[in-house]
Amino acid sequence: MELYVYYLQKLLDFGLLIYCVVIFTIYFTLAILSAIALIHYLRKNRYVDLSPIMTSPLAPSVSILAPAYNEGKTIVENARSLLSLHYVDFEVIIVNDGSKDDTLERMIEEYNMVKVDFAVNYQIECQPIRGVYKSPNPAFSKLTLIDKVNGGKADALNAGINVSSKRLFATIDVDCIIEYDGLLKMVKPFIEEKDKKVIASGGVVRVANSCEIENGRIKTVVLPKNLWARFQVLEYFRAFILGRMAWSKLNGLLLISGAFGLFDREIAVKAGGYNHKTVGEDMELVVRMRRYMHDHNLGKYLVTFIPDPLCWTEVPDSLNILGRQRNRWARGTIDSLRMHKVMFANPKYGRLGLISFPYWFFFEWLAPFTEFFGLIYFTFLAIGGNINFMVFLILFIFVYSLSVMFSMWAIVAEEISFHQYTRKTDILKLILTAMLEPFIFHPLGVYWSLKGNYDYFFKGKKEWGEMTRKGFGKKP
Amino acid sequence: MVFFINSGLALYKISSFLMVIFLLIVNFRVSSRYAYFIHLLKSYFIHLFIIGLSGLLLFVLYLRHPVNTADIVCFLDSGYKTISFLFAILVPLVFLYRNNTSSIISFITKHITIILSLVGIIVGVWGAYFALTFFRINSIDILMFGLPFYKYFSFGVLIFIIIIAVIHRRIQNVVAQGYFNLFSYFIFFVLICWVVVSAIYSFNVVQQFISLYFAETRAMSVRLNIILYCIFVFNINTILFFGFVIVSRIIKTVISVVSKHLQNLYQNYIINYVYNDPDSREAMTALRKLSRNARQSRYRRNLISRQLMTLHKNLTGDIAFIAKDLYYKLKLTEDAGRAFRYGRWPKKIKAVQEAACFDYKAPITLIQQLISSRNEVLRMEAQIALIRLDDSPDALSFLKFYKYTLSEYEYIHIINAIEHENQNINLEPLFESSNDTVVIFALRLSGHLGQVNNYDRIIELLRHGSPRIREASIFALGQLSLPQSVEPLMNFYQIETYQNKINILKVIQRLPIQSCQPWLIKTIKEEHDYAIRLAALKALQNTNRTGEDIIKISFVEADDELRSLIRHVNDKRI
Repeated sequence: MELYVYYLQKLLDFGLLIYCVVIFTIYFTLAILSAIALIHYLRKNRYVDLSPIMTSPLAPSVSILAPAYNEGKTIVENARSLLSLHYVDFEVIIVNDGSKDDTLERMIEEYNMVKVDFAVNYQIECQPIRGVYKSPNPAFSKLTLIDKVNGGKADALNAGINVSSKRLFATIDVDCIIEYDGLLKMVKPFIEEKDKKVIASGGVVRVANSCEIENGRIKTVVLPKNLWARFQVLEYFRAFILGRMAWSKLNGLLLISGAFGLFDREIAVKAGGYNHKTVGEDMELVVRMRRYMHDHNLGKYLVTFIPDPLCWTEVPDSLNILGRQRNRWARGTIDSLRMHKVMFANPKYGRLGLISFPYWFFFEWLAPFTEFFGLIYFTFLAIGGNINFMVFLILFIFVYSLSVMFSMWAIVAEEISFHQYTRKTDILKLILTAMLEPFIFHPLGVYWSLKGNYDYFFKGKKEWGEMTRKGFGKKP
Repeated sequence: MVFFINSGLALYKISSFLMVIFLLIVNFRVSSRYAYFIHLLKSYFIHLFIIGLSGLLLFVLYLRHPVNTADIVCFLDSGYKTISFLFAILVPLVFLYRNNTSSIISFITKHITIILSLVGIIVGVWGAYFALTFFRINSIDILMFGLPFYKYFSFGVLIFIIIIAVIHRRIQNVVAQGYFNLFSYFIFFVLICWVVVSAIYSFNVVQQFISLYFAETRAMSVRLNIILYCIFVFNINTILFFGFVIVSRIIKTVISVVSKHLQNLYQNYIINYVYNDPDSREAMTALRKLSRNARQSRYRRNLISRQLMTLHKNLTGDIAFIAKDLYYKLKLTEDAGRAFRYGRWPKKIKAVQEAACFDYKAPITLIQQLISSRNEVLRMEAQIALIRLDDSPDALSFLKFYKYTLSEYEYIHIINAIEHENQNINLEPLFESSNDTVVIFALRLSGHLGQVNNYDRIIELLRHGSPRIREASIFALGQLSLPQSVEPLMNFYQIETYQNKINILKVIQRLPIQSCQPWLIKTIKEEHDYAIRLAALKALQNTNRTGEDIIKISFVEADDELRSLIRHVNDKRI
């Protein structure tokens, strides 16, 4: 028996060690790749003049889809902000997803909208559309309002795709703030790629909490005063600038943020549009579009990523809402991985099947489990008196130093590239946040993720959960 | 090493003494003595209170775990010295910056003073307690390691504060404030370098300490040693990253301050030159000053040429001509010429842009060579420059043998350049190209410029094997808006791809020809695809003024989908 316990312990020790070594190696590789990709992007775009795209009839047309549910307080201003984007050929489609408040009435009243005889082509499954509205005022000719039966975000986006008529469609969270030239920059990869078809493009999402906002635009970028929001700033730096930039370089990107993404309409429709049975519809669509390209041998393709700060969003600044968001993210990840499990380690899907998918499985979905298991194992050893506390201390400092170093790496990448936080104190605060994060935010993240798994597997929870937002417009 | 530490300590003691005196004098000069002493007194009482508290804490610890009293005295002494020195620095600092809301120093003085003292006490006392009771370390060892570390650190802080104090008092204008920011970053950077050196030094001590600890139980494993080295590397990296941020800010500050200042200066000179008579005194003075600046450095020449380019782009007529003349007078062409021969690609791009902007034709052969460059950004700039520099109809001849794929992005930029510079371009040779993307470009441009003389060529290309070329031909016909296009388009409809079928119908929408009505009615009845039916209905509606009536008559027994499509087409608000 003792021998079995001994070998089991050795196996666990070795397994955890291998897991750590692999995950650290991956993080290092991703960080280096992202640095290369970022430098390449900045050098290439230093001399870019986007103004010809602004006026060219050759620029691809874009439909902006903004689903709205109970957004009555802010919908009018948000729609105006979207209409003021700088682009040549675009339409804004606001989808009222059966709101219980006055979202529809406010839009109709403000933009003088009337119901039109729009023949909806239900190419993708969605809840019935009660009506399509347009404004007779030429100033709002780009604006379309869809009123439909409630079916969730994915369903609302599907309704928007059915009504849209342009070559590309952009999905936007209606309460996000998009930079004036956001569409121009997002469209660029679609038109500049020569030998590969770009099927989707994602942009960096930045945290707008505490920023000064004027006329629906970011006026002054300030680091959030709320600590939870500040943790998320750092997390978004790492996720977008280090993570997704590197995955984009490898053409292995599996996730484009639902807050702002641009997609090829034809491919999205053929792939079946958004899946409304999952809460991680943004990731699931990208995976399915990629899978569709492989399954139908449609040639080389790309999912690109733009590191420019194009979209600003208000992140949750209370633990409850943040927990619900992370819980949903965890459930969305499981859904996407389960729905496309055939891709796992499948050489048919190339890098996607052999690298991206296994990475998401082992290091995004399984990571919280491994951490939790590690803690239990540590407790078990400690009770048995099998812990050398000096070794533990050294290992702890090792992991902590690594965590802080990666955060610093992300801060450096931001600093040399886009330099949004210009105040001296902001940088110091960010560094302090990076030092605190492993003790406060990370353990909570693990807990929320585990809870998401529990809710998914044991409660069968599939809904989004209430997301309360404070809304912009108030000066910090 | 001992010599180094001792000499450093001696230097520190003398310098710190002199600097404290200097700091006091500076403070006396800038403020009333009374206010300063009141502040000093208050701070001293707080200081005494904290020291007393720390003594009490140590006494309690001593009662619980009796240790060598000599050790306690050593720690108390060193703790006292540390704290008193910190206060010696912080008190005048608080006084100097207590009203400054923007400075980082203000932030530190407002919030960190007390925290730092408390942290110092807690870490120092508890650290000493743990070191003495659990690890059984000789207090002299710690002092030997800790004191030099502390002294070098406080020395660095003192230098930093004094320099900032002096500079902040003396420099008040905006440009100087920029330099002040720059300087504070620089000091940060120096401190970081110093921390790195200290860390390297202390790493050995830490490693020795850990080895000593393990020596009592078992030999320190290789794996643990590797981890230790990793920790060291990670921390040094973190510090270096922080240094990098500072360096980046230094560079950005320098560039922003200097370029802002120089740009304002050059703008004034250029305005004086451009808006005055070239022989007037103002213009001559401006030219002389600009020439002198241009001779000074390449950086200044770049700034001047950028200003001139902006002026040339935004203004037309005489002013643009004078700006171009000034570019030549300042001999800025020499830099462009050098960049073409020896520069790296970013410099070449700048040179190409300047050549295109100021009609500088001398390096045209070099620009032509850049057309085959592997760098796509450079290639596109060269294409645009050649179009701008060549007014002849054959300006696009370089594309005939072009081997690279042209992207839509390049189409947009080249077409934009042609639209502004040369509308009478000859596209005939491009239709012969073996490069499909060049043919597509020729078709697009042909339609865009409305070159009806290429009509036959376009019709011919409707038979091409590539669906993309056929698509471009269909669009080109749509843009030419010739009624005779409808017949061939209807003929090719059946053999076309799904997408091109829709494209053909969309083109026919723009060509209201009554003769195609029966064909459109047939298409609507035969096809059952939403998009095709919608496009065909729109085309039918646009054939003439009675389009709506024809739709009503033709589809009396329409299915539900067709009926909703007819309503859609008839609704003019959509």
